[in-house]
Amino acid sequence: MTMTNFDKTMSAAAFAEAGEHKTAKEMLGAETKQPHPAGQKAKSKPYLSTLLYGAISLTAYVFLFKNEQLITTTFTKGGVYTWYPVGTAFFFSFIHGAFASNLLNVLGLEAKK
Amino acid sequence: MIGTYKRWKYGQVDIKLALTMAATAIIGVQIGVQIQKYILNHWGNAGSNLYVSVVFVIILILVGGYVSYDAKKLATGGSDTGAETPKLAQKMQKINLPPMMNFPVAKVRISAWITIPVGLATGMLAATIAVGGFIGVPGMIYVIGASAVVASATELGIAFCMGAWGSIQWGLSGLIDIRLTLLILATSLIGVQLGALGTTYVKDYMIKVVMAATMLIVSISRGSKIPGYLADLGLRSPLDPQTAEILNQVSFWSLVAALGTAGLIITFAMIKGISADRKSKRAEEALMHG
Repeated sequence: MTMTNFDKTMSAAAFAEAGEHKTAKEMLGAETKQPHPAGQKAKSKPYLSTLLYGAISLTAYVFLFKNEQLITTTFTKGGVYTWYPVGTAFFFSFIHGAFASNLLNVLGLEAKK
Repeated sequence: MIGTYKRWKYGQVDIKLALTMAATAIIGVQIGVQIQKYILNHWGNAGSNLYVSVVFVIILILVGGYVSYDAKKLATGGSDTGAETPKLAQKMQKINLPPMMNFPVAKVRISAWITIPVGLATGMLAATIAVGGFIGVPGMIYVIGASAVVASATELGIAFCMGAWGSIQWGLSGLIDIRLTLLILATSLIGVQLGALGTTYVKDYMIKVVMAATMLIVSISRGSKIPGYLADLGLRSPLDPQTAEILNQVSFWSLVAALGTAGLIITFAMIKGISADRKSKRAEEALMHG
């Protein structure tokens, strides 16, 4: 049976409580990360990037819908104009995607390391 | 694109497998489009609707039923990860028919000839019901032998290639409404990243549970449309207005239920995974600090 990270930690805690500090540390093994060295700050949340990308994204959306008639006419001409909608989709994906990614980080939702 | 990038960052996308599958999937799309055109020319819109719904129901029930059976087996079978290679995939990997290809992220070595039918079927389904992943993901899991996490992530890469190619085709005809695209992107870009990070917390079989639940509930939605399409083609007596209305309501609400169920399963599994991970980290920190 494979032990989960939590199982390993709890087993190690049991050994530590029984005074078997060395065994407890061995159980945690190399997977256990060392605590941050003194003076090293914990990673701060990207509030500024979220605001910046959010503002650019919102401005771009407002600009698009304020000029929707012109944009729709130009973007549906076909031929070489194909790159307009494709490029716009890429632009929004990058900007709004970066905003969404930073927003999730600010909310404390990060992928498991 | 953003979903593919995020899951590639988490080490889940096999780019080589995605590009190999996409190459054949694009050919599959062309075959699927030709079949659709033939049906449309011979039986009109009603024939096309019936064809799409029947394909939907058959594929969703068969694949969704099997994925559901497999997920249940893994969940109750004492597997730690639920990521064992299925027997069919093991047999396929033993076929030594050149050219053999190595897929490093999926950790699979398989003949290119095995990937071709899976890619073609993915493309054909994408052209028929617009969701090639219903064959692509199970195909990569059960035929090629990738894990559910890698298969679902790699499918995003295939969908990106097919989508980009399709968008250029539609763009050349001037048929892209960028406003609709960007309205959908506004929320889907958040959802896709939330889902991507959720996959790093859940076990492999949970992805199969979500797939199976979505497929089986959507099959009810499409299935309830079939009597109406049969009546449109004159293959059965016309539906009375009350029955037609009930079937329409069943179709709409089962689609809502499919989306809601998938969303709830993912959200609960993610909250459970995040909370277990945080508890584990707190216990580790407490131990390290004595």
